Parts: sequence; structure tokens; C-alpha cells
Amino acid sequence: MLHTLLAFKHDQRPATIMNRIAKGYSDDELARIAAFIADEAAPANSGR
Amino acid sequence: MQRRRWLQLATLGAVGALSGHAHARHARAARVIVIGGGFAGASCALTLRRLDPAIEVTLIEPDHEYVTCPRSNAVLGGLRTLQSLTVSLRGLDRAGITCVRDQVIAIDAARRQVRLRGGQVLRYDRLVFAAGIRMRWDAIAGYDEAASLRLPHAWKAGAQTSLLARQLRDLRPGGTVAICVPPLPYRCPPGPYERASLIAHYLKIHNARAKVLIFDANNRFSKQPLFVEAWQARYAGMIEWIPVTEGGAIDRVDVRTRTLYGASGAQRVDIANVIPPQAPPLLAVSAGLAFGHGWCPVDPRSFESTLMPNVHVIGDACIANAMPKSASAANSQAKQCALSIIEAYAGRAPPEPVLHNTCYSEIAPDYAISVSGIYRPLSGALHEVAGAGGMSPIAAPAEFRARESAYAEQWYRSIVADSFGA
Repeated sequence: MLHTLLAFKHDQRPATIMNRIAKGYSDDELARIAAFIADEAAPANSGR
Repeated sequence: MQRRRWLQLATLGAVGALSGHAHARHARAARVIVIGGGFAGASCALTLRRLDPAIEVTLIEPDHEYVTCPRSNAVLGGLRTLQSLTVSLRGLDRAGITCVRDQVIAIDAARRQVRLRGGQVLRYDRLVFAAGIRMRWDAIAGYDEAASLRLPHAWKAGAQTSLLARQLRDLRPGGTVAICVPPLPYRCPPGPYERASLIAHYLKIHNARAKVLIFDANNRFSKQPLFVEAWQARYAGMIEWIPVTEGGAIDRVDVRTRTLYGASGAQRVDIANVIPPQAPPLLAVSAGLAFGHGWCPVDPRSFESTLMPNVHVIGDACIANAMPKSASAANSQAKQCALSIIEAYAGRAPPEPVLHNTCYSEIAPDYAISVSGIYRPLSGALHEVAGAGGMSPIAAPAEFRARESAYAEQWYRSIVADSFGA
């Protein structure tokens, strides 16, 4: 996930709007977003 | 741990449910009252409940449902029904928010109480004012609430939208539709131009010789190069923009003859969509939350009023500097406000905000454009982060515009679900 967000930020992945949005965040902030989304997506972590 | 991380993340725009966290340190339950059940109020109430179920959240809103302004121009374009834009507020009840179907008529900041039209008096620790806008009936001579039943503003979605849609359906062949745009700031800066596009879409199919005139009290507008490009490509000769410098500001209307008066003279039209200047509801003025009769100043981190302690103002009513008055901005501000309230209960400062806005505008069913921005506080005001955000590219291929059209629909569904729990 972080790889994807960084790719958007550095225009290494085709996008319409994610490239514009990702540029507004630091790499550290993108890492926290990626960790959060991964956590949300994993059913084993739900209800913790 | 999890809660702490959510607190850090939520300001980045991430969204999610959180497991229960007891507010054990309070002898008495924390009590927050939210005024207004639009995007700002609903998002704030839901975020408070998700993050801290121990906080008692009461939301005061006279209506049982909310009709979204986003996508309401598509009703005029014949592309959507008003019903499809109507959101039930029951998702808020289900989330454990106490919804009171009433209206606040007075705020007593000293006693931390609000008085409702029904006579009830409710106490709060923190009050969130998210009541949106009122139309300023004193701003254009001849244009008052009664006039809006003949010359609709359609700037609050609902009956006004249906009225304007009906007028478009009944327009004589080759008739003229005028859209009058007030000076900024007003709700949804690209809205009038999206409206011109979707009305032109409707007329192109049903009344091809009809015209759309935009009388604008400004001399430039949001996403201007993209709109101009799209109008040339899709609606050549159908839309004419009259900026303030060419007499676009309308200061008087004659309701009976549907005549608009400005610096360049009088113009008689078949449909006059008059969008008047706006301000927060009068309650904000009488309570002392607004500068004069204008908007409400807030701290850019907590969205707490700079004029009244323990009262926060979010959404269209607040002064958010570089942020536009939009559903997306309101949703982002609501989360930051909720986090700040939770931190304040714990005796901590608000988290550092990173706010976000995305606005899509529809040109046609297969053609949409967007603008986005990330905002951070600097010297007491919210500024757009340089080098980020911005508009869709100019001269993009049709496939790009079609993809943004599909994303616009997905954006709409997710912002409604996120804001209203619907």
C-alpha cells in the first residue's frame, strides 16, 4: 500500500487525482495512512 | 494504542470504525451538541461517536432527511432524481446519536445552553455549529424569499431544485436561461458553472436553440480553463459568460417580467436562476458567532470560534481561508473538530490538522473534471499546500474525462456513506 501511495506521489503510477492528493502529504504521513488502511482491511484485526 | 493511532490518522482523511473506548475519567458524561444535520454536522457527530462512545452526542436538525447539494445539478440535467440524492438521517440514530427534530433559536454561551423552538433547554460542554448558510434576501433589490418561488435559487437542494427543473422542462423553444452568480465567498464555487454545463446538456437534447447566460459578480471562476474547454467541445454557442467587468453583477430583479438589472442595463429572460449572496443562519449572528453579518471566524486547528469559547463552527458557516465551502471540506473540518473536542476533554491541544478537499464537476454523463487541495495551518490561517492538489489537466483525452466521471460517482457514494453512516 505504501509503495502505491509513494508511486502516486512521484507520478510513477497512472492516476487522475490520487497523484495530486498524494503530493500534499509527507512520506511519513503516507506510511501512517498505508498502515491504517492495511489494518482496516485485515479481518483478523477487527474488534481489537 | 489503536485510538491514539486513529487520532493521528483521522486528520489525514482516513476513515474507520473504532472499538469502544470508555471515557472513565469523567464523573459525568461528556456532552456535545451539534446544530445541523448536513455534511459537516453529521460527519462530526459520527466521528465523535466512533472515537469515543462515552461522549453523549445530540444532533439538532428539524428535518428527517437531507437532500445533498452535490449532484443536484444533475437533476436539472435530467440525469438524476431528487429522490436519489435524499439521505435518511436514521444512520445517525443507529450510531447512538440522539437526534432531536427541532431547531435551536438561542445560544446562551455563559450557561452553555441552547434553547429550542419547542421550548426545550439543553446543556452542553461543547457546541458544534454546523448549520450551513442562509440566503441574504436583502442583497439584490426585488429578490426576497417570495421571489425565489418564481425565480428559484436552487442553492439548497430540494423543492427549489424541482422548481427550476420544471421551469427548464417548460421553457419555450429557443428561450433564455440566466444564472446569476453572487460575489465570492459562497457555497460551492464551481457549482454555477457545473449547473450551466448540465442545463446545456439538457437543452441540447430537448431545446437545442435555447441559451444559457451566466451573469457573474466575479471576473474569474473555479476550474475556469477546464469549463471553457468543455463548453467549446460540447456546448459551442450555447453558454455565454458575462463577468463583472462586462456588467455581470445583477443588483435588481423584476420578478413579474423576469428582468435582470445590472451595470450594462436590463435583460429580460425566460428563466432566472438567481443565486443570492449568502451568510450563516441568523442564529450565528444573534449568538455572536459571526463577524457583523458575515461568516464565523475560527481557530484553524480546533475550529473553535475565536469569538465564543466552547463553541466550534464547521462547514459552510466558518471562515476556513483557502478552503472552499464544499461537502468535502465540511467532512474534513468535521473530523478535525471532533478530534480536537476529544483531545480537549483529555486536557490536550488539538492534533496538527491536515485538511483535504475534492470537488468534482459534471459536464456531461461521460465527462467530469475535478479540483483538489490539501490544507495546513500557517500563522493562524489555513493555506493550500504548494505543489499538491490543483485541477484536472487541460486537453486531456476523452477517456480521462470519462474516468473522472466514474470516480465522481464513487466519490459521491463514499462521502455520503462516510458523512451520514447511510
